[in-house]
Amino acid sequence: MRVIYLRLLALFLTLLLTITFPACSTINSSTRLVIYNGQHVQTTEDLVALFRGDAKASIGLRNADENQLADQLIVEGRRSNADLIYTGNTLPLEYLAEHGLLARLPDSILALSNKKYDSPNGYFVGISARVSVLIYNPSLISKSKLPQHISDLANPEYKDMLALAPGETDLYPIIDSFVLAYGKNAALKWLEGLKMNATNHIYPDNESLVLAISRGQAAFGIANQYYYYRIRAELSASSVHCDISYFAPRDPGYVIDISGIALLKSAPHKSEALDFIRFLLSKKAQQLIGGYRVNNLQSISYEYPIDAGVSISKTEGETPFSQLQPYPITITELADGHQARSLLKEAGLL
Amino acid sequence: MLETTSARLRNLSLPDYKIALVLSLLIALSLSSPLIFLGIELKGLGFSSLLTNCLRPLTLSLLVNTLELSVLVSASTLILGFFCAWLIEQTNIKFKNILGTLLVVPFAVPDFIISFSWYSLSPSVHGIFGALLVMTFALYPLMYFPIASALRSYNKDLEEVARSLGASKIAVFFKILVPQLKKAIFGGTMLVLLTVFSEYGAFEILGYQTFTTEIFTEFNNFDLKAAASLALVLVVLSLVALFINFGVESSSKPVSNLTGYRKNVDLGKWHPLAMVFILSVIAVSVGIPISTCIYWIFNQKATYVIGASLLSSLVHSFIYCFLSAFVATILALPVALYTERKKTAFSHIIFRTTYIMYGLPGIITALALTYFSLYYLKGFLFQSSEMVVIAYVILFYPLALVCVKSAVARTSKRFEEQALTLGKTKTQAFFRVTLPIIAPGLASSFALMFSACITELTATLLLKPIGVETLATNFWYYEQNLAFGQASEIALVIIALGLIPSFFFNRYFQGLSAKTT
Repeated sequence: MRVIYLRLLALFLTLLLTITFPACSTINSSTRLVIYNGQHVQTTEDLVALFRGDAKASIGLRNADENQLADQLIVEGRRSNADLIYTGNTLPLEYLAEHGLLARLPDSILALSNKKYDSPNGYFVGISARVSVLIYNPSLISKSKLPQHISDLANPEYKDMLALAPGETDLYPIIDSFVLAYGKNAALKWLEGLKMNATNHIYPDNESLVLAISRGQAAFGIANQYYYYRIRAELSASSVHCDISYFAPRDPGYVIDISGIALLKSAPHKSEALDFIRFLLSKKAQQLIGGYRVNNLQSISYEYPIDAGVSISKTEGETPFSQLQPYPITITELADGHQARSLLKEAGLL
Repeated sequence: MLETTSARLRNLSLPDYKIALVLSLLIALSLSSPLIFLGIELKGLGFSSLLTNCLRPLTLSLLVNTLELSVLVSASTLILGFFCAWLIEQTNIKFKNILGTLLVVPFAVPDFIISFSWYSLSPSVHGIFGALLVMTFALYPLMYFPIASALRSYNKDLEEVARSLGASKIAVFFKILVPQLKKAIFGGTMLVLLTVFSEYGAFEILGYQTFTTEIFTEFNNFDLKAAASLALVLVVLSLVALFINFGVESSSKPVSNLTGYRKNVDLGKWHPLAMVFILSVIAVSVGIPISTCIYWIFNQKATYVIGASLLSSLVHSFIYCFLSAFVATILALPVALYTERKKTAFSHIIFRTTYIMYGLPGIITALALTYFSLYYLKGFLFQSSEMVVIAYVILFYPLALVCVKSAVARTSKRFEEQALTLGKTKTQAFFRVTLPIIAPGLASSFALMFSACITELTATLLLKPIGVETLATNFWYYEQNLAFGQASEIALVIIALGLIPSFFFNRYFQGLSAKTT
């Protein structure tokens, strides 16, 4: 009897398999554009929806961690099927440019962008901006006690209060900024001080960091401003306990972080790709990023539009871009994050 | 025309295993092919640079961290897994089906949820203590499964004989029961060790540095050569672990429980305590992640959809995991048969080679397969569903192998030979004699593989076709957005999906053995 059951089972399984296997190959051959996306998926999906509008055009997104996408592009080399790479930080784009994988953007596109936030050699353009802030839990530390300067974060008075995400790419522009202001040796000492203050509060990314602060596991930490607004939008008010604070004007910790897009040299759909970049720099896309309702779509990216003519929507009370007073570090000086990472390794944080 | 029995017997043996040998060799080579990619990355690196990469001061502390934790976790999961398996399979504890199914749930829970739920409870869950706690309750199913599978077809007659000869209960336990489980224990230990080696998500959150967390750091640093160097060290480490012979490859063949006669140990007054123990294990390993999910679901605000719909990701997850589990189980058969029946140095090597990629992070397999498809196969299968299934099989094959192998160990060539003398062909002998005996092993293999594949993330993100989402990738999109409520909904679906094959097969085979009592 047992054998009959087994035979029936085997038969059933084989049938199930033959039915399901063809369903597996859902490769979309009508894809017109392939974007390797390291930006937050929701933001990019909203932008793609706006770009497509009613058109049937198929745009494919490959979403993954931006650094791993960069690795993937390096391995894929010239046989990659990617047209564009869209990231939350310019560091991977700079690295890919150094490796000769990016195509220089045409002048017509570069003319549309905000020069200040583009690659100096025209390999990528900035699409949105973020600013580094302190996120803190008001019940664990009062606003007045928060450090005003980035260098103060290493002070012994903040022992056990700091949350840190050494692997988070958003941190590297801050480290580079620190080196520019105070030099490498001071930066190393500072990182070692951070390590002391952040024992037991090391997190893999900004999402966990902000959540931990909100849940009272650490008193404060550095993150980009939009995380604060996102957590308040995502989770119920009763479960969010954090607030935002800016660094002193022009302090090295007060850094603008740029999310950019680049064209791959091996892109199979170059003109569509350039259309998309042009679209991202257009008023409509910038307004969507800024939180305005555009064509019945509304995004909650909370990032700053790069277009100086579009200011962020006032709904959440975010500080307007024009009122920010960041440290004047340029994209060129930010490079590919190599320096920041070596310092982090030397300090034993990575 | 007329053949004597002995002549028939002489016609058996070696030729039967030639096919199995060739298949096993092919399988082992295919499974370890991503190593070629490592070799390519390391080729451009000079030997001195390789040494510099590998012998950083950090390397020693990583080695200590990795080894320390692996040994501790192996011990703790062995104790926990064995005890639970014994209670479920060998005693008369109530609700075996449900408990047995719930006990393997932790394996289907995503890394992030497990470690984050522990970490949310108390910040003191950190460092090595935190890692040990989290890993024990997350990985004991790896010990539980093979041991339970072996116990299910364990032959009690030997115990009866020993008892009748005057052996004490303890002597019977250590001299009869444990030796028969050696293979299962060995297999489970290898899995636990290698899982700890390749674990990343949980350790990131717990702040525990191992080789794999360092490999990821190098990948994030775009330093593929440094990552490959560290991966090489990890491969060596895995091989050392794999080749340590615990003396389990004994020549004595245990007899399988063909009669189906099972006399369970009567727990008597220990019954309530045993129930409390099992329920506590389930509460801790399953309750904590699930209650964290439920907390987030009730505390979410936003309700938009990112990525694909839940239904679409569910269907794709199911298809990928089902196929991977099926393929891996089928591929495990020849290797299990060959390595169990032919104990040569070659078979030992083949067996251990199949484990190597399991001990390495998935990103290496993903990048390797991408490279092979683009540069060796002219883009064939590049970013396709088939590629995802191949990746899953490479990554999780040892899970299938250990279950099937432990079941094959219960069988004996003699039964097949007897069938042959009775006039059956080799194929018939296999299907009517061996297959029914190893069926529970095949089922366990399927269930374990299925649960493992559902939570795979890194390789899936890089290899899947564009536009296709699995439950794991969709989960990640929400988590990235701080949409923990929606992520938790998916996590619960993942857990439920992982339960189904486990429940079905547990029930089916419990029922089978009950029928024949």
